[in-house]
Amino acid sequence: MPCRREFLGHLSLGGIAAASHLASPGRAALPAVSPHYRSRARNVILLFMCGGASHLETFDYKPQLKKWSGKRADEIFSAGELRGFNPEKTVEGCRILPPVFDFRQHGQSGAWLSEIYPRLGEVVDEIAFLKAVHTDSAIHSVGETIWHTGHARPGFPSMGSWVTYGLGSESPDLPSYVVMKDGISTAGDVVFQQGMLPGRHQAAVARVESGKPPFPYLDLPPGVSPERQREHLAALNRLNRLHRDRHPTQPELAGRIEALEMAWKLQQSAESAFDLSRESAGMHALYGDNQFSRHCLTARRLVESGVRFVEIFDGAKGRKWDAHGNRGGLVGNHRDNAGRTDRGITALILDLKARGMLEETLVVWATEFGRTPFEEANREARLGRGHHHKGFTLWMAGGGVKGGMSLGATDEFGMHAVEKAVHVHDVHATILHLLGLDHERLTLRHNSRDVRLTDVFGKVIHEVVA
Amino acid sequence: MSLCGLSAAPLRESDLWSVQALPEEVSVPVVAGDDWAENPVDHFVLSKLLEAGLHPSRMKADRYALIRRLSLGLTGLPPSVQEVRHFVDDQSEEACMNLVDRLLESPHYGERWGRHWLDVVRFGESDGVLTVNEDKVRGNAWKFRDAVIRAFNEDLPFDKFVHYHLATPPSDEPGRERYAELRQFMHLGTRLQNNSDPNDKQFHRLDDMVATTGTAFLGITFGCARCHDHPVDPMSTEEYYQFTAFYFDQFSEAPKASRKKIELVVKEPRVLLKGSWRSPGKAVSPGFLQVLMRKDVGHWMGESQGKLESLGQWLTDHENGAGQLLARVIVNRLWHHHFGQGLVKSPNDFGNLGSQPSHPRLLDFLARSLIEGNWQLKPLHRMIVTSATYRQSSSADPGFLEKDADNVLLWHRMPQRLEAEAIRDQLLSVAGVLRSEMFGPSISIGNYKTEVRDEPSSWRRSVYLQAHRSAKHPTLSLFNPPDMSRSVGARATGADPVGALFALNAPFGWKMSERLAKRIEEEVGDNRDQQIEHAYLLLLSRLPNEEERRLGRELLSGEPGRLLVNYCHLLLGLNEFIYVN
Repeated sequence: MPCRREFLGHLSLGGIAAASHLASPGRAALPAVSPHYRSRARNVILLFMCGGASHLETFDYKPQLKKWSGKRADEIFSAGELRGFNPEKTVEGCRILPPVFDFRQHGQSGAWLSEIYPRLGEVVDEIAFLKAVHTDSAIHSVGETIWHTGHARPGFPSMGSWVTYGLGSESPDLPSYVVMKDGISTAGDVVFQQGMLPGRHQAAVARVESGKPPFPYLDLPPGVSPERQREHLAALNRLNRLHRDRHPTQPELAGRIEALEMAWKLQQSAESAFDLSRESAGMHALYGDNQFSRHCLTARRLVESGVRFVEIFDGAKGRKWDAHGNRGGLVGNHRDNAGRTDRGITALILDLKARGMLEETLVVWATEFGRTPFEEANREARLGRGHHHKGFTLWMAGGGVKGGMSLGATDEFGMHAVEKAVHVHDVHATILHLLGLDHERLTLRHNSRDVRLTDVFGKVIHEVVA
Repeated sequence: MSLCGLSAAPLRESDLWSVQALPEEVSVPVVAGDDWAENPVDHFVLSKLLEAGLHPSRMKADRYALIRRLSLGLTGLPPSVQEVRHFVDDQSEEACMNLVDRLLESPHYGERWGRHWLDVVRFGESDGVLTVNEDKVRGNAWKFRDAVIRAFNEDLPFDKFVHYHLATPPSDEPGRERYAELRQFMHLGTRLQNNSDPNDKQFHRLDDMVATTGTAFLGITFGCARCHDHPVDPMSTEEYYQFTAFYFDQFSEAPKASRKKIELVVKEPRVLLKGSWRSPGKAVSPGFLQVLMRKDVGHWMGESQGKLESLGQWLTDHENGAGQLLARVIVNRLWHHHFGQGLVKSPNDFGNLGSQPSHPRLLDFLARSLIEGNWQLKPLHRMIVTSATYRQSSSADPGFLEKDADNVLLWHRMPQRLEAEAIRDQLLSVAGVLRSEMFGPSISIGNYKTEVRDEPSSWRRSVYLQAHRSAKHPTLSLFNPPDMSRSVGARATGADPVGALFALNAPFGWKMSERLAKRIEEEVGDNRDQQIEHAYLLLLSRLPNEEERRLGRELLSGEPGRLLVNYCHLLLGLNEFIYVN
């Protein structure tokens, strides 16, 4: 397996370089590496809500909680059940808090949505909700790392890196894994890194700001014209090729020459791929006008240009989804966050569908964990909920996912994933499966171990595959 | 105790090649009628090559290539123009020996090889907690780095060097005070964030220490044994937890997560069922690996000495303990850095899942030489770099590619990419701005959100830049820096477009080009031919060929202005600048 990958890895770079001379700019080259089996999705757009979005205030409607309102957690749950949350918190004396928002059913599927998502109802029949997800930690940095890499420790490749490693690139002029972020992960940019995979699988973190270059070092140095640089590059390539020819046994030398060519192309094409002024007024009206919306609209443009994996990371300081009582409170926090993202997400799905791209573009909405069914025992003036990793909701749409469904359930309190429970590893396995990749075969030999996105776990959730 | 002294065989047998006894003497396979070999190393290499129907590159590296290879290999810095010219003018063998001696005595040798060792012991100067805004800097970690550099420069015998990682140097050790800092080894690993369960924190550190001890010194990965006995592992689960017992009282974890009190469950060394502190099993005392014990445990454990003292003795005991494996592992690390790959391709894994040695007898010969030579590394370096194997040219019969594309049998020299630190150091050095002061507190590189620029105040060798675990250095991060959370035996060498963009456009590269251009003008004036020649000597330690001269003149003709700066920038972007032939 690793040999095949490495071999194809080489081949893919060469293939891209060769193909790019023939293909017109922006056109997708041939798929770099063929998947393990038939793929449904070619691209992924991951919408990551950093901070731990409450399943109870968004998609997992638990009206039954009203009847337990105000009861102490330890009157309902055993000591064992209350163990393993964020270790620094004491939860025994916390009181049950029913959902703070109203819910309504939407679409043919009758999916329940919280009032804070007034628009999402328009596309709810495209969505498959996973309502019994669980993970291994209720600490932000650990949860965010597990979601992104499948491991609780730093140094492992990010999901986007695995996908580009498995499928190669379809975009000769752009990086195959792009992150647009508003805020910083609690675990830092390590969650976007390629770990032990080759450097080209690292995310390119893009800045979406009108008039600014999306990537560092894209701007030509002062006084250097594009023509001048082209000449510069031609001379550099000439010398590098002579050097490579003198040392035919070192394959890395060719790789570096190609990387330089790609850098040159990136300079030419990145700006236009990120230039939202090329979108119509209608598009701008559809997506709305905030940073998250701009990220969504850019994501669609990037996927159109063949970028394999796009992550939109939402979690700016002060408005992460971390709805403690002292962080603006559950009500204000979630109302703001959902309100800010509702239009962009809805527009993205509508737009992809209208263009016929949704079938092959997997949209994933995720967060590192959910929130407890009880209010946090703090002395804050506002209501808040603590971190909760034993049962929460994620959803997927497009890319071969069966729309208009909901899989699994938490118990009547929204506490434990009890029916069709799936771990984050299973979600990873499913994402790879939809892309045509077998999570058990997508491995890298490192320090004598086969490293995988799913570690030694993971089962494909076949129920959501159309 | 009945076995004590009676048996020379290990207490438990294993088929694993790396734990087998080292021969007392390793005979050198002399190949008759071949005058290629320069020293014993070559005989081992040659006999393997001939067996496979290959032969070494008949061309030796020329003087230019050789001085570049030696200088960068041993000190991490390129030779000066004057050094190159001298070396080329004096073709005697003596000049070569003198050069090797001079480089080994250079203080930069310790900076270069100390850095290699820092990879192995997962050196970092911040806690490495996942929650990046809590990743605090460890103010004294630089003293460990300094002790490592000094130990390499002073050629402290490697067995002592290892011993001092665990136990305080004895009173008769002349370098006692500075080597005492090596004990920071115990605390260099990463931590869990403050709000974690203290039980998790405790075992995170114990795991880190057991894993690092195994990997760094013995090339044994202890990972699997934490949860289950593994038929292919030389270590049992019980032995794993016996190892935790060595370090158990080193890590007294406060019984709390942030401010919340939480009891520690495991208060003495115990076996953990399924690797979890929630299910502690029987109590254990410190113990060693049976496959590496030719005496009973009492041979190293004494009432009068500390546990870690005993561990250090066992690790370095080349008669009855783990010392032979220790020697095999370190000589392979030397080989790895000199040739780009070790005789064992997995320098951190000498276990059943790692690679088999390509030249087992050569590995044994080197290990035996190290032990017989009082564990000093410099003589071993000397033997390796004065061999004909090392001095082969990088051009060779490409027909051999089919038989041995990876150059496992060493039929030629494969160009090797420099590591991030050496690339940056070389850049600063040729631009004439590298400051040579050694040692002392590290230069800050910022943290997770504030990236520090590579400014003149930090233009010292990269080994003095702070090894902050959640900060990214703008230059080093582009060239595969090591993962500082675990032992690294071999660096990666990939290329990506972002790194290439840096090479094209980054202000830092242009700043260096300006300095370099200025330097060239100062040193040789404004004659274009001389500028070209000087640039090649400075950057690539060789003279340009006719085509390169012609291209240089072409690029340097026209309006003067920034022509030379542009030309310098071009040369700094060459692959040849970062790949050593």
